[in-house]
Amino acid sequence: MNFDAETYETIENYLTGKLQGTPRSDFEQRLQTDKGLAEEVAIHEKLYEQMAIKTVLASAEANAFQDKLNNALTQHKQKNAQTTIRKLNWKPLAIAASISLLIGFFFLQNGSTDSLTLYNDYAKHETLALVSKGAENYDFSEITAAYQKDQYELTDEKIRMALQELPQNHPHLFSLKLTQGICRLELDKVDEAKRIFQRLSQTDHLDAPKADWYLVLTYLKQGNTELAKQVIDKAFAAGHGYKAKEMREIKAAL
Amino acid sequence: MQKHPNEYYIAGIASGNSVVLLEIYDAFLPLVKKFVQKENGSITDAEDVFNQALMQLYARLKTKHIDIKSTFEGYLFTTCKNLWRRELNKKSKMRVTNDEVLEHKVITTEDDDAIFEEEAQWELFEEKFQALSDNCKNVLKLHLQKLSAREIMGKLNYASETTVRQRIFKCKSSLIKKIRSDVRFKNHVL
Repeated sequence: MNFDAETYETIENYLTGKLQGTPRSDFEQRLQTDKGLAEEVAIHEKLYEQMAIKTVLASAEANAFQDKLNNALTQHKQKNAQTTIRKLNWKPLAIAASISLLIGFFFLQNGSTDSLTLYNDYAKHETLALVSKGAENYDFSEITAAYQKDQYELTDEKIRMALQELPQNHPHLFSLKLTQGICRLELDKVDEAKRIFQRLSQTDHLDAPKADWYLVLTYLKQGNTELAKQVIDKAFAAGHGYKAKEMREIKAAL
Repeated sequence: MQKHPNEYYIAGIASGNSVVLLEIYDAFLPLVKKFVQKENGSITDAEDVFNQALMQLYARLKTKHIDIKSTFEGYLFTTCKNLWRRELNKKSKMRVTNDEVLEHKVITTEDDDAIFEEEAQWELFEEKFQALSDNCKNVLKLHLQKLSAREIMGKLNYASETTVRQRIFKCKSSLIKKIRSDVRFKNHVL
């Protein structure tokens, strides 16, 4: 789309606030109907924004800020070095303490269950059933096959490719993302899995309770029993029935 | 009343408060180090990325309001993560593929998407700006810094204000044409 010098000047005056009164409201009205012009204004706006950032980065003030960052990093490193030395000095005691903790764990095992053990006990994932739906008629067989064989890395990769091709309103999108979360959890990419489940849990999808369940498992794997309990409480409060029995058992064990 | 942690860190960066900056390094750098090391980088790479992210945040704060919807930690971590992935792409001389774009979109939160878009826009505009002739870059730089045609005429020894205006128009049209013709334009700018 080509605009003349006059239009460019009007855009500039509009963005810098020089265009006022009736000419401004006329221009704003034109923006509502002229998509090309609106795009041009958006680009101009970005250009000004970007140049402003570049100007800040090149300023003496930014140089001073950079020096402060360097100082902070140096101090952080010094602090860390001191902590490491302290840690080394306490190593024999720490080993002794962990041995006694382990001994204690053996004796107290009947009373409190380790969260990772709980994770291993309950992380039995559902079978993935994806049937081609929608106009795309996408073939999900490779995903399901890889997932059934516990090939999580491959499943994750195949899902990534599928998500790239499928439209945002595809009926299997939720299941695919949930499965992607499970794969990441199994691949020990716990933070990534957590983010996926958190996001899915916040949706109003019918299967959102499944995301809550996997969020519980994620927290168990992370050893964060408090957050696991919080998610269970939230699921109970919302009246979700998915894995309710298991959730009760986990809560009791915790 | 005690400040929200996001506001506390943001205010600390904007004012260059050394105590807050040290707190930020102590609290959030270890996580970034872990991530970068896991993604084939070194501790120095992680420190560079962290530093760059804070510089970027500082410059953005100086030019506009930043609305962090999640936590400061999440915002900073995502910025670092994107910077490091872009760095890896540059190192392997690969362009950011749609695949990666999608991965971010799938796994991230509302804030993360905004950061990702912002960085993609920055990269596109910067790349096209750098592709202009030196003369165009100089003229546009001064123009976008809101210098008048008269001031630019004086600084760059042009014969008249009209010549400056014509030059600005020509250079800007050329830049916008380059931006518009890139496939990333539709994805990240509009």
